[in-house]
Amino acid sequence: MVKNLLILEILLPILVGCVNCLNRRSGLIYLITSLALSVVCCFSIYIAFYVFSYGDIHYYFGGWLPPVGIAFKITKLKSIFAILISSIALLNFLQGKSILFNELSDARIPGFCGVFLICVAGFLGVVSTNDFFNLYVFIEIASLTSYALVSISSNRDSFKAAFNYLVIGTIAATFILLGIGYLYSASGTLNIDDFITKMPGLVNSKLIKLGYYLLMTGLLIKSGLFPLHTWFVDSYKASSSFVLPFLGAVSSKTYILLIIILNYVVFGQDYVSNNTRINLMLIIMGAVASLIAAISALREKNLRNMLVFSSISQIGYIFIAIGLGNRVGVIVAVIFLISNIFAKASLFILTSHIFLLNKSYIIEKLDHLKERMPITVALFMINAASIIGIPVTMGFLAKMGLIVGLIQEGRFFILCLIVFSSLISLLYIWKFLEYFLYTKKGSKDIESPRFNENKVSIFVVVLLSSVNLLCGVFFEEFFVFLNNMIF
Amino acid sequence: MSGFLFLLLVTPLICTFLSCVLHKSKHAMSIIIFVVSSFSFLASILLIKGFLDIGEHLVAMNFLGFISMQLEPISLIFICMVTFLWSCTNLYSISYLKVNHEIIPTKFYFFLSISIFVTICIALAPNLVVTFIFYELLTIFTYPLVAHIGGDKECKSARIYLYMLMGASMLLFLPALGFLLAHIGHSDFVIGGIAKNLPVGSVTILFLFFLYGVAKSAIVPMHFWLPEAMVASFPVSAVLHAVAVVKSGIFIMLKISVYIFGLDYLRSNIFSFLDTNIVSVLCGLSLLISSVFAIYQTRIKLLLAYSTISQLSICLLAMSMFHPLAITAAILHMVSHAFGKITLFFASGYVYSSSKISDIKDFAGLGNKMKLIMAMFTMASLSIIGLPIFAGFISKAYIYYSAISQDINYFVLAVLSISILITADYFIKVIYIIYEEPKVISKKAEVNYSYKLHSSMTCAIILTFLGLTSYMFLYDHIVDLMSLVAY
Repeated sequence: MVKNLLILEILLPILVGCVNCLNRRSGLIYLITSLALSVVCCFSIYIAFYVFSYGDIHYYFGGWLPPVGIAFKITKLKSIFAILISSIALLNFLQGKSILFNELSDARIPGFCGVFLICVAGFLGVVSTNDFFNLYVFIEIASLTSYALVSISSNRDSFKAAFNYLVIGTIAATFILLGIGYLYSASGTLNIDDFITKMPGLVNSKLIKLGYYLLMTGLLIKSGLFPLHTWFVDSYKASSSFVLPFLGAVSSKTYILLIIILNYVVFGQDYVSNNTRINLMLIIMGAVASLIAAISALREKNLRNMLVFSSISQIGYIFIAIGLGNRVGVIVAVIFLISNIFAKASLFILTSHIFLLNKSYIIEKLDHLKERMPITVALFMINAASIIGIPVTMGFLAKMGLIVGLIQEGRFFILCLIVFSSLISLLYIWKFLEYFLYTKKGSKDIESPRFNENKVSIFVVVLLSSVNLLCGVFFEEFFVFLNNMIF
Repeated sequence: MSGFLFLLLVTPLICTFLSCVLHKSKHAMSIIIFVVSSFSFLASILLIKGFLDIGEHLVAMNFLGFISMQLEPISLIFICMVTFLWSCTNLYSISYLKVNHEIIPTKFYFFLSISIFVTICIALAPNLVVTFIFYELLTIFTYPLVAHIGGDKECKSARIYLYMLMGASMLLFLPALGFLLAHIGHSDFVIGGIAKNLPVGSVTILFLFFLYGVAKSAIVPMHFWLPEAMVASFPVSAVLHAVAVVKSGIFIMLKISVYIFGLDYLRSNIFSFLDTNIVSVLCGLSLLISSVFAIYQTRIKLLLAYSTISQLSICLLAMSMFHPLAITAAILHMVSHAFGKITLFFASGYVYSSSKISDIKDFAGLGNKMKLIMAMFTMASLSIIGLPIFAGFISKAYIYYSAISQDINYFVLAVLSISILITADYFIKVIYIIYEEPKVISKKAEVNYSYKLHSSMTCAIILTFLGLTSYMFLYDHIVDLMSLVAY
């Protein structure tokens, strides 16, 4: 029974998504889509409970056993991320009703909902598959729908940005496909578990090395590491504020999860550190990314763009953690991923509602926002604290762990860069918060009535922030849980 | 015993709660909060008694069954001091808030009480990580008090306050903590210290990282936040920026030297030349520089701020001798300075609320108008200078005693003597101005003076003044309690 949930979780949104496109009644479509997403969310939670109590779940398509057939496999780590993806999608969909109907005309909503569902299915597939080629297919499904989601927006730039995203994304996908091809020709298998068993005999193979590098290149482009991040900035700046909480929180993080799994499980840290120089490269690129993106964020006067740059800076941290190549590194990377998903989803949700009510992202227009949207500002502060890495949030745990890991590896120069960039993150976030909290001299005393804040979105963000804070407060239990989950 | 601990921790939280609930009747709120807060002092006294009955050096406690806490003499003295002065401040605020309408009582009491709660948690923390967490929270919760009025000037000062404190802890304190965790694996406070197997030569650097990272102790290049914090109202400056915040910096440094490094280890491993270690030299420099700065201040609050910086440096200077007597001397000075400085702040707040005077030159002639308050101001400044029978004399004499008792530490003796002379210079100047006849009667000096209006302020000043004079009976108990510390 539970095995079938694994595939239903992906089939259901795809089917509902396709049916959606045939219908024209936007209200009904919205209802059906949210129902489908909540069913998917329940499935993923049930699967995670099952995995945590009985161990990994395998699903073989058509009963064909691997290595011949295609297989799905879900582990503890993957099940947690499946929950995160489906629940963020659901929560984002529930809270964004007013934004969705405000930004898009009724005629476009059915198509949009359909694409959104297929995108969620794509990301869930990426997480749950155990087959290289199948992985590529799901990456393509997720990417193509992401391009579409970026392009569906009231913003005129979004077409250009989506086209850029399409070109660069396709190049990345080509790298991934090439890499998978080389791995297949060297090992003769596409099943990941089978590949892991054959890996010890293939350590010296040049083809494996080439395949590994190509695969990593593709995934690094997809996840938006620093020199390859331009698509990320453009498309997220232009996309509609409805999809941003989902895409910004989930999309690049899923690819980062894949990189973690490739580096630590599939190829193994022995292979990665002995035969390639990818760890050093990740650390250096991550440090540069975190610093440069932080400086770019400091220069931004647009709230959303600042958050996008801060995402790139955070991705830099995650890659440093991955590049550490030890147990601390992988735990820290996972904490970073989870804390980022929570914090960035809430921040983007809050930002979209700030935009909806204030009609602007520009810092000066958001002057003394506290009077107008007090709860939003309070929640914004909690999640911003997680981004900066202030105690009793998950962000603090991650930053602390990263510092400990860097010192254990003796990388003091990188440590300096990290510490500086986290200081800059304080500066760029505080710049906005100060505007939110106090009246500046230059601005006129605008009559500021209290806006009616969207209750659902407040509820959603309270939920996400409380998870963030709870993990930060009970950090010992959280570490035990992570250890159990990863190893 | 655990009942007292519960009472101690819950009292500030109740005050926080009351400040939200009772926002309708402000006067009643002030009085009720004062009454409730005095229970925390009672609880801390009872806690000391319970601690003496147990007769151990470190007592591990549980709060609500799962939050571990640790009692030891230094933290008990610190808590006792903070809770007593906090209740005095609440007494003082009853009439201060009635006179000064720019302060919003709800916000004031909310953040003040929660800051005190966090300070108590700093004192009870079982390891350095928890200490760090509450240290950061203290910065965050005191920020709204500094930026309370919310004008441009307050905003700028509060920004510097936040950036300095948080920047120092991010750049120096957190990496040092990370280093400790990476090399030792935990950061518990243990008798004799835990940092025994650090790499050669790293002890000095690590200690200096802590010394400058704990910027709340306001050692000289890290002191800029303290004069900026003086834009806050007088009760806030009195209880936070003369007692709770700055003293928690000193307290953390004492804990680090006694329970993380261990005094013997520090004495033999800190870099030193000519029998003077580098920490002494830096603290001495800080002391001299801040004393000289104080001479040039023309506004009473800034003068008091710089005098606070120099007195804190004296505490650190005493600590830097790293033997048990010196630690006791540092604690004695910490307490005596707290009483002296809070009296000074209370008295100048009294002057401010009756006539809005903040420049020292406008104090001329006040000695004849408000005799009682100015007499206490005078005696408190004499205590800060270190004249006999007052608290400051006892603690400074104890520092001299500890500098002579082992092998004579000429550096400490010389620096301390010079600083006493400079302190005498600037305080006697103020006292002289107070009692001289005003040459030109400025408009500001129209004093609205009545005991009836300011009765609670007068009571609070008398209370802290009594503490100041009864210190000669009190210090014995502190020394007794400190003799329980195992080194």
